[in-house]
Amino acid sequence: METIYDHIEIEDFIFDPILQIFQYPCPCGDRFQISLDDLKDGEDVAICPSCSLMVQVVFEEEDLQQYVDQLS
Amino acid sequence: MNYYLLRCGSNGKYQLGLGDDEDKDHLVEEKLNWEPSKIACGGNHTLVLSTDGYIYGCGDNSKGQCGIDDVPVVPNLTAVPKVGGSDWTDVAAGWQFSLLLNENRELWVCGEGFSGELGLGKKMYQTKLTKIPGIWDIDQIETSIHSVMIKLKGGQLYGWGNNRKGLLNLDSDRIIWEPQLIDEQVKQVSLARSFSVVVKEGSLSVKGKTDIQCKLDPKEISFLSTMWSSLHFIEKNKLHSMGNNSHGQIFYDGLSVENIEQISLGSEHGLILYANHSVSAWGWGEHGNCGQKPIENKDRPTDEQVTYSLNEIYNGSRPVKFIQGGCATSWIVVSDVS
Ligand SMILES: [Zn+2]
Repeated sequence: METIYDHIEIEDFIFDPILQIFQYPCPCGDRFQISLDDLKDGEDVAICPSCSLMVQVVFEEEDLQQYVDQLS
Repeated sequence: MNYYLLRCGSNGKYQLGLGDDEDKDHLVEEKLNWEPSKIACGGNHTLVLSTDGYIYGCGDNSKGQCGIDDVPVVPNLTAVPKVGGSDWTDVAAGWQFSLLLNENRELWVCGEGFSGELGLGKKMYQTKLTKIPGIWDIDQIETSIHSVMIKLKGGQLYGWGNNRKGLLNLDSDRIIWEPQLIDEQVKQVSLARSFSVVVKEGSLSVKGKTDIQCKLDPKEISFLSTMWSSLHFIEKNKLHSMGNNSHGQIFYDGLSVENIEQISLGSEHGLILYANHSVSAWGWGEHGNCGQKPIENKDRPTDEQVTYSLNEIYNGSRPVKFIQGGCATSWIVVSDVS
């Protein structure tokens, strides 16, 4: 079983409204990523493309609306 | 006397300064014609201060974080311009920004940050080398990914950048856009990713987002430092750790420190320099920053395969001047045998 490296609140992520992804620094130098769609589907584990570390995104469903509003 | 820079670890943006972007699981050596005195590691960039007042940068420079103009990456260590010809005297690095101090006690900043870490005022997100107003009589610069704390020689503590959950020891806004006085009569500080530790005469306080609670007598503490998510200190000649232990970061609780010359902590790994000049690493070593270990399935290794307990990365064949842990990188400065 893989350990979750850390728990990070959604407001600590940087949201890219064009790519519709959330990013947060990984200790390897790359960034943890998760898409808005994944969060809407109830997925909450952000992964790093360059290493095996994962973080759990801490959020409530109603937190997502403000990011949806940034899209248009 | 000749000096050599040995390094290994994460290298996706040329942050090891070796002219390529392949991770290294063994130390790679470079002979220098100058003497390093400090190494500062950002997310994907590195700055090395020399005893003769130069700073050499390498790695990701897409936001200007190496202090060198108009190149997206700096593949090999390259001198940062001396502003007005003044010697650089100190250096620090955060996620994508750097702080450089010169002999006139001017503090210069370069790079990018959206949380006020540049210290230049509201909505200043990116800059070439720019002076932060004031004269800075600095004793210690501490940086984490998006925050800065500076302790002056007079004991005053200043901070700016991300203050989420009060990690800068300030109750005010989440983002501190310009240097703000936090405290006075401060002895020592350490800044982790989401919390800070401030040591004063008779008190030690941990602020920010963390589970760490400790009641320590500062008089008994001879060393205190942080990884991104853990605290490590020497109390009565024993090394103790507290905080995140997802990948063996807490391995050395209660280790006796008799033969230890220096401890340096990276993002999620630590380095120990012993009196016999050998260097060992512990913690999270997925990028080779804790040396070699066979990983069968590199695409999705298990936690065990990327966790190191005490792995010797340097055998002490030459005298070590100092060591430095970075963002999944490890650095050792050695000299010729005298
Ligand atoms: Zn990573």
